[in-house]
Amino acid sequence: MRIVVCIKQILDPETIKFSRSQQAIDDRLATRIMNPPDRWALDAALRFKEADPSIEVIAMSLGEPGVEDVLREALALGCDRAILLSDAAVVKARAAGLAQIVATAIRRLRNVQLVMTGHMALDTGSGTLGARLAIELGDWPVLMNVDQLRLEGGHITGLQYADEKYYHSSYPLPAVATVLETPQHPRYPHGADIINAYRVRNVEVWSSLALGIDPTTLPAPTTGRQLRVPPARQLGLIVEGTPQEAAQTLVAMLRSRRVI
Amino acid sequence: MDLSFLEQLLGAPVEEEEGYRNIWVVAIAWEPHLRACDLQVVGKARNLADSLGAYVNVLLIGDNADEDLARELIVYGADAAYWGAGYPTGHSLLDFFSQHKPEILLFADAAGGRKMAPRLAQRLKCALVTHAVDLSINAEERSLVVATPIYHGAAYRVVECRTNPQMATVQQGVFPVPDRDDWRSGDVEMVELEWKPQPPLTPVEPPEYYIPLEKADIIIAGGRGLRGAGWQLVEDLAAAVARRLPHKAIAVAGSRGAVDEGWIGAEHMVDLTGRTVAPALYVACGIRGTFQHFGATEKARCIVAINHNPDAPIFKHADYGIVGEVEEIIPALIEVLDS
Repeated sequence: MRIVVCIKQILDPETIKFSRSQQAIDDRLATRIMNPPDRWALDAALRFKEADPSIEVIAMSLGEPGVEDVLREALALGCDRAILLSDAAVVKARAAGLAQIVATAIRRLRNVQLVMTGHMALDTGSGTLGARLAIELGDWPVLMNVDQLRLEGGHITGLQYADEKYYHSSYPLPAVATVLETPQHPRYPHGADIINAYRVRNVEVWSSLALGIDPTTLPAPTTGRQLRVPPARQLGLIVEGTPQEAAQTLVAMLRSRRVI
Repeated sequence: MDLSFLEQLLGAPVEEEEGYRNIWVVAIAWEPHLRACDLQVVGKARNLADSLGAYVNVLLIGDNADEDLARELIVYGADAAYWGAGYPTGHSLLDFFSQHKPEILLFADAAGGRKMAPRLAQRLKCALVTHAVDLSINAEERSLVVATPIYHGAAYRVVECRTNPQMATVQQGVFPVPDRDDWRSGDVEMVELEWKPQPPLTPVEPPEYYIPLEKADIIIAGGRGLRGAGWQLVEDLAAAVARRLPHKAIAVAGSRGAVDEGWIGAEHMVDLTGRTVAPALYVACGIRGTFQHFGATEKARCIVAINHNPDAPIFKHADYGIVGEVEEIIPALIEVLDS
């Protein structure tokens, strides 16, 4: 059985700047990282593989060739294969088209029983890929926003978060699961594995042409978009003085604001 | 006179697509009452419809949907309400909306809609804007303009929908629940969709690490900066605040750093991967401040930061800051609070 984990590369939110004058994201100094929720999804998939070595975990990502780095990281973490879907059509496509491309690639892999991804991408924050993929794959069931995933007897079960309550849900395979972040740390790769992932391992690059997708049939990008950067939060007040004075001033200020 | 050059200048005449009109909202009744989030969407849809000159139609589904709840929707601003008890299959929902051709189709960003909306969007091969925090109409294009947060609200992306239908899910709590107007009237109709059996969902006890820090009025949080001073200081400060304000709910929390150090359990972690909080007062002691931490605390009414590093990012997000060693500041604070 094969598990596909869809990984997105995003700009590290800690390193990007938002330019208020340009109303744009300044990514000149930004580093690119694996979308954190996807890391948890990958972690869950690798746990399944540890429990049952016959499971093959395949990391999949799409975009420009630079995205390869997150796939190398996935290989270093223990994925069996890494596939990058990359060409002009992929770069241009939006949600509906992307889901079609990814689903075609997943179908091409055969015997994929489970597709996992993070519950959302931190950058766009949309979190719709899982549900869209499920439709494209032929109306597979989708477990959204789950935690504590288990594979048992041909079913995937998890603790689902919805409307501030938790539910156990279970669906038969094949299925799609979108994974929540939890306080438990996901694994990070060892240095030697990272070096191997670059020296020895191979990221397969698939193009939509090779998948037999005609880019003209993909849904056109349908939305015009622009960015709006909210005004900066007003800088707070630094309370000066010796510790005792500062403490007194602070408590007086908090009291005058009726916070305490 | 040959005016064909005008046509060339203006581009080919746009073929009006027939029938895509009116705003539709999908509301869900899991329980025998309407959800506030659905009413918020209906209220906003009413505003949009008035500026478009369109009707607001609501499709009410869910096990507890009935005629009375559908009438309630009219009272809250819908022009017509269609209801059916159950959970429709994706295909029947697709057929329903292919037949009714909504111009705008809205869902609440809550259980149900969060899953139904992207699935329906994919069946329609259509864009979907999620977590909308602002909706307006571009009157020239007759298109829906939606603002949606990116990077947890550090910026907003403004998207103009140009598909048919224009789909969005609306974040909870952004728009008010509309006022009741008991004099409103409208059509209420039962619809026959293909229902699919829904497994009964019984809530389970949340896992141990999801204790509602959200309930606290005041949160005293500590981070790695307490390494020299000791975690006890945070507990002492919380105790001092509790002595001063016995009627308030006070909680102790930690940043990811504090949890990693083992000073406090993961159930008390304030971080995007832990809990997001919205207390009246949040005191961050020895927390440098990461993106995830700000995301989790941005709803706090007042943030106080104590840190020895004047360049710590936390000061950019705090209302009040004290630059200094925590082991000096906190005892001084306790003294003032106790005096």
